[in-house]
Amino acid sequence: MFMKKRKLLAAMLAGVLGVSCFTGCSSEPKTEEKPVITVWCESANESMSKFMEAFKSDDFDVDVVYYSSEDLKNQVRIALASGEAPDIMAANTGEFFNSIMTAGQALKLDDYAKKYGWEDKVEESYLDSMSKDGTLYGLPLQTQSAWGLMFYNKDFFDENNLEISMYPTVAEITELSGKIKELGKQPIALGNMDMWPGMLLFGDFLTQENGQEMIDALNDGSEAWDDSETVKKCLENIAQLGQNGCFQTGFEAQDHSAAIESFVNGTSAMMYMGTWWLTYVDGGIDNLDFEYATVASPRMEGVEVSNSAQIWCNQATFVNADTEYADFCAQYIDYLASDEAAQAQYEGAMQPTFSPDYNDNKLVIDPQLADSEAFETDYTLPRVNYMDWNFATSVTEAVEIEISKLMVGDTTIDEAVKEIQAVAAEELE
Amino acid sequence: MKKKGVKAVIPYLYFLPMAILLAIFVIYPLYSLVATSFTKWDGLSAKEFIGMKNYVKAFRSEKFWYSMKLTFVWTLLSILILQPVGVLLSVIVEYVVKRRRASGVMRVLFFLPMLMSMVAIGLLWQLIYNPSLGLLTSVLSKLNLIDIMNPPNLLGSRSTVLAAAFIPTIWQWSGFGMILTSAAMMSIPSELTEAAAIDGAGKFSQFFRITLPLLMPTIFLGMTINMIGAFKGFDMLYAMTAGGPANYTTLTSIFIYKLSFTENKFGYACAVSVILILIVIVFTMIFNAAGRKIDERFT
Repeated sequence: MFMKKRKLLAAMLAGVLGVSCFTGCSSEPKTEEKPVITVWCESANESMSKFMEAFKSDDFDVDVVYYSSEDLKNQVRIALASGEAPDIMAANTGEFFNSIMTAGQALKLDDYAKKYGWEDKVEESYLDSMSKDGTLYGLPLQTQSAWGLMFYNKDFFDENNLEISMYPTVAEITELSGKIKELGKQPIALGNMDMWPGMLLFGDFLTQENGQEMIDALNDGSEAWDDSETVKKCLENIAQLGQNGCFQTGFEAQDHSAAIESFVNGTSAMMYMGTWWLTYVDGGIDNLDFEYATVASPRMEGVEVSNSAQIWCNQATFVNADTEYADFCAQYIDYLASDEAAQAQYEGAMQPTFSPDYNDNKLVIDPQLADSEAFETDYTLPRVNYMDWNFATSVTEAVEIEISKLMVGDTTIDEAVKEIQAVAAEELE
Repeated sequence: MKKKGVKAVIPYLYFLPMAILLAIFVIYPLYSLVATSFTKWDGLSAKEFIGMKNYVKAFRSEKFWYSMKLTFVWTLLSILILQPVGVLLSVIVEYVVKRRRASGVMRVLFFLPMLMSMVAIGLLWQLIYNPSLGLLTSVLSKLNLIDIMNPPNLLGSRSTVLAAAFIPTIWQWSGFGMILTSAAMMSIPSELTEAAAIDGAGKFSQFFRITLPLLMPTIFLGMTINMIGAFKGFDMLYAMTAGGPANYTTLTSIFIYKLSFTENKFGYACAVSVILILIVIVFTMIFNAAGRKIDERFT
């Protein structure tokens, strides 16, 4: 009885197997599947994501994967090291992208640039940082976020007869912060938990009297960190701001999102932040409960307009040198460099895009921002990369740690520059 | 004869799948870690053999020693606080709360944080501590215990950040100690305490003279587990403080992460990892030896 059951079961299984073997066969010709190119990029705003995913081609499909900025960097590094990198990726310029270009892991784009006319479609001034030995390896397909600015709650200032100049000095900010606190608000919203905002503040001070040449000098060792009066002056100003209570309580341990929240919900009267914060307001900038205005970031004594500005499309979109689909990748990058892409970017970010043509002819900046002389001037200045991408990462890390300590008075200027110099010297070896 | 030889091989075949998994997931990564620790490698270009330089650099680095100091403090806090609090909670659920249902509910509540993601807990407590936006400031100011313009800045100050960051660890991990201790308590024969009660021992001396000594091996096991966990502590702390402010919460595990993924010094990071592993092994051996002594003494 039992044997019979087993035989029956075996026959049924054989039947199922036989049928399944033939299910793939059909009289219709088999259609060939389109290749898929994979794109890894930083989490985009909604309109840009929609645009990226809306790409259609008869020849290939696109799979877009989003990462947060920090995750993207780690994932790209790991993927490149393991040989499992996607077809198109993004990486911040500076040491990281330089090492990718040096290792031959990015595809040379010169021929495609000529074919598609990319040099006219993107801001030319950023191409140098995405090239090595005259060869182009990446395209700056981001918005142009600016630093060097400070935002304030204009309604609160007007109601309390507070005044701030377009180029406020550290002394002025210190005095103003005291008044703001007396009125029951926190002064400048800042989130330095990840330490890069402190580094950008250092950059804002450094670029007030200097530019790329000073960054180069610090990088090649011709200017030592512990001998540089410029560096010491910048750090002194940062220490004054931090130690004189110009930043909101807890700035050391909150991230920049919390800082934005603090300004937007009215806890802080001012905010030191990149121009991209506008998109962080729930429901758009029109939903902000107050009118805001923009001035320049705190100035050193005697400085108004800066020598240079930290404005950057500092992410290079590049193609994996080992991709099987170089032509398709170039086609997709051209799609991302189109006017429509610039429009999608603008809709999500409300700031200048990668496209000079779009910026010249179609760009409409939020009037509350555009009215500011400091904002307008920033875009006319010579540009340097964001300060956290200008130095070797170990040097950046050292500067960030010393800035964090200086802001709360846990170290002195001399000790700080000595620590930084030690790391910079080791890096030069 | 041949049959005998096959029989002798069979036990090893049972062991084989585990051995293969061990080789793939433990031995090879460990070998790769040690091999990389002798190289200079940025994660992209070819590895360059540099001998012991990474180890020399680590032993000479103030940052490394500072991170080790913080790791030891963190580990000490974990050993001394987590399991004792777990014992306290188990006493509450087993002895203080008389109603069975209430003690069941409390057990679940105390254990619940263990089920939450470490990163979520880190972010949650970061928000609770936020001086401008956080729950702590809000509650304390409602109770008129603080000046709203000068709220406690627990995660922002060097003197308080480590202790403040440790509180969520107590909140999360004490439930584990409680479960461990409660299970051990249930296995203690009731005859022992009943006999002591007949001899006139009160609840207090029953606990300290009978229950607690019998719990010692379990408590020590919990402490060992907490010690190993503390040496590896990373996710919750990183989500809460990112190693800051400055580097005041950069434990060795965070130091390793930053070396690898911020500074791209993978060879150096591997060398520091090897040192950390050796330290954990040494401490685990010491704890195991002490554990054996405790077993002998109390059981």
